[in-house]
Amino acid sequence: MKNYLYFAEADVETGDDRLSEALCVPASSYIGADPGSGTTTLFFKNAMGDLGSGEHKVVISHTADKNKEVMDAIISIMNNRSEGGFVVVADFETGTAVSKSSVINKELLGLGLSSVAITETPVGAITGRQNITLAASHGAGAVSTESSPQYYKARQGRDIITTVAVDLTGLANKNSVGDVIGLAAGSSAYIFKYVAAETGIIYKIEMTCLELPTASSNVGLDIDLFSSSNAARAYDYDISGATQVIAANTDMVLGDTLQNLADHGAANDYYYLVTGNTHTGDSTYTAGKLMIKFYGHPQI
Amino acid sequence: MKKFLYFATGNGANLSEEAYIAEAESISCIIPLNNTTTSVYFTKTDENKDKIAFTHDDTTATTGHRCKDIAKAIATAANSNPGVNMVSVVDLDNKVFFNNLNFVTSMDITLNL
Repeated sequence: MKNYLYFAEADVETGDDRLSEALCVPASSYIGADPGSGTTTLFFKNAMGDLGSGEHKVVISHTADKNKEVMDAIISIMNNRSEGGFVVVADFETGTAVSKSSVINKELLGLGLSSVAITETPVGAITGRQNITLAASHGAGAVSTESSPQYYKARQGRDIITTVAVDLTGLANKNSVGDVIGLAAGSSAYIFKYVAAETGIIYKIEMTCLELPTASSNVGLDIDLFSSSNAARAYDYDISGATQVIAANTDMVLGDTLQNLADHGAANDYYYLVTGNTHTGDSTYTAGKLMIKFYGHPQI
Repeated sequence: MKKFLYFATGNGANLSEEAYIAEAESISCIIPLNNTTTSVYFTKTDENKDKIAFTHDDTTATTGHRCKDIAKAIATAANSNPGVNMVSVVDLDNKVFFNNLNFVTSMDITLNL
């Protein structure tokens, strides 16, 4: 008997958008779990839909400090004999479904389950951290109101390609050439660190506009990329004395890519988005997405 | 003995993507797409998947999304009588429905996503 596990959030209406509201997966695709504060995250491999390869994550909220009990219960659920192979682990679909009750597997009763949240992570995705020792890291001042910078790493032959996707929404842009872009409230606004052990020796950098930045007024469309040995540069800091990695020299155009084949910054540098040209007045972005690719090769 | 699941769109099953058969072991996930569509994904290779999108009635405001019923039926089909090699899950050419899947009104098969 092969078991299939079912999870559902409160409302089940959409999916395949990295936020599927219900999920059924073979128990055999279970990879493992990660504890959190009042949550346990379950990982299932190869469960992506249209979005390519990757993993599904199911975050189960429960009574604090019951993580080990939840993990143990999940293993029991997977290994128990079931009727027909279909096993409801946690079905909280009662938000719009008025003729339905939530269902929690008996192995999980008493652990205070209150919700599940389902997300999908593409292959190569790395969780960004506010941690100055890792390549996939950023300052608190680079966290937009939409999302924090997203990181993906892929190998192409021996090459290592690290992609940083930055949402500009909520980040502020001074009307002053060379000033760091970041949250107006301040705090370090770097978006990436050059860690050669992770990224390889960087030999090429590309910056692509995936969504044209907007602001209520005075939108800054000329955006440069700088690197600095200092991790603490924040919004409004004049970083023009550091290394200019990408000089846009013009306003961004949707879909266009800027490329730099030289002067990529030094190992252990931190990378910042910077005002490339004046734009009438200070502004805060209301939209805008950039993709920055760092091409590296391991030390030969 | 390997178990295979069969699906047909009702268009004759004599052209590509009008029918599909896959080993039950290759099911990767079942998820809702919207109120009236549920998809089943099958792993073909590490990079490629095949997808069957079922269209069905909207029960989200009453008994809940049909994805649960579809998931249950497919799990049951995958574990059904070991003496049967191939299970017709939804065959709209012959109006054959496994368990209670007769609420499926149409389906789209997409290969090599």
